[in-house]
Amino acid sequence: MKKRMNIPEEVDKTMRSLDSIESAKTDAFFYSRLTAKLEHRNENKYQLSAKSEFGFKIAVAAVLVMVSLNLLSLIQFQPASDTTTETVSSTETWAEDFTANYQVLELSYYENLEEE
Amino acid sequence: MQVSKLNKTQKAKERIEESALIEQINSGSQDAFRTLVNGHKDRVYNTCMGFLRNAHDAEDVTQEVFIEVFDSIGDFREDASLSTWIYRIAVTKSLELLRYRKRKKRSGFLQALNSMFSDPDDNIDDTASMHPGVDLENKERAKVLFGEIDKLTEKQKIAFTLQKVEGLSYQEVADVMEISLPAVESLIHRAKENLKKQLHSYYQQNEMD
Repeated sequence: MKKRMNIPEEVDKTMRSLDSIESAKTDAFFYSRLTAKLEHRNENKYQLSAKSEFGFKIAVAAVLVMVSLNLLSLIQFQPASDTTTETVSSTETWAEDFTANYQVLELSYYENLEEE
Repeated sequence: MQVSKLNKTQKAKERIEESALIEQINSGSQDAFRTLVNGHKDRVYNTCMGFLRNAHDAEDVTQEVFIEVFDSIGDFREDASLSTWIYRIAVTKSLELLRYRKRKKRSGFLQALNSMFSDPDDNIDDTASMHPGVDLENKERAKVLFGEIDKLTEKQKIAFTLQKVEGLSYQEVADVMEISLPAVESLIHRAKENLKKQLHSYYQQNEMD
């Protein structure tokens, strides 16, 4: 049979369980580990700053290259002012050629067929 | 009367020594930093242990505390004692880690994924962790009590842990928490009352099981 618990007594005992707690201590090599961590952190910091400096240089160079390419294209390839007229005229020529080749708009075509 | 005068003189002497130590650390003296670390490491470790109850975590956080001290000792205003300031950092860092662990536990799916890829240190069994200062016969009871302390509000938990585990006086707890002495008394009183209630229902439930 299960023994019944005296709850208030259990609570009281548990509340007092930390009364005799002793202080936890680090070992003798704590300072060495701490300085090692500090040094490691400093090394990483320098590496990171060197990396970000290099990245910044690359970004600046990339922007400069893009700007100079844009300028070059602006200077070298001036936009033609009569592009629209040219396009319209080329479309017209193409339509004329097409109708000429396939005789699409020749009205006498069907008449000729009937006569035959 | 004479005792309090002696205490005041001793405190003033300690303050002067602390100021000199801080000045030396600021000027880059490694010996001064070593003196500071060796003078406070056990108390910081014990405080971290009180909150984290895991030797590995406590060691890590203790190191983080001294790194923070090393980085920001130049900003230290001497309106509080050096040890109070260090205690404050230790409490903040320990609670930060606990909050981080809680967040991690909440995201169950991510945790499952994380356990596949993370370091084995991240998956330390909680049941294995215990403050090493607890004597063997009280281990089980202390485990139950620590479990219930974790359910207290943050302020009650800090006040109770600093007073009970670290053995700080109410005034020292008030200094670390930057609150008044009556506020600390009230916090610890409420913490004890809540713990009693929680333990009562814990044992009631255990009796039924």
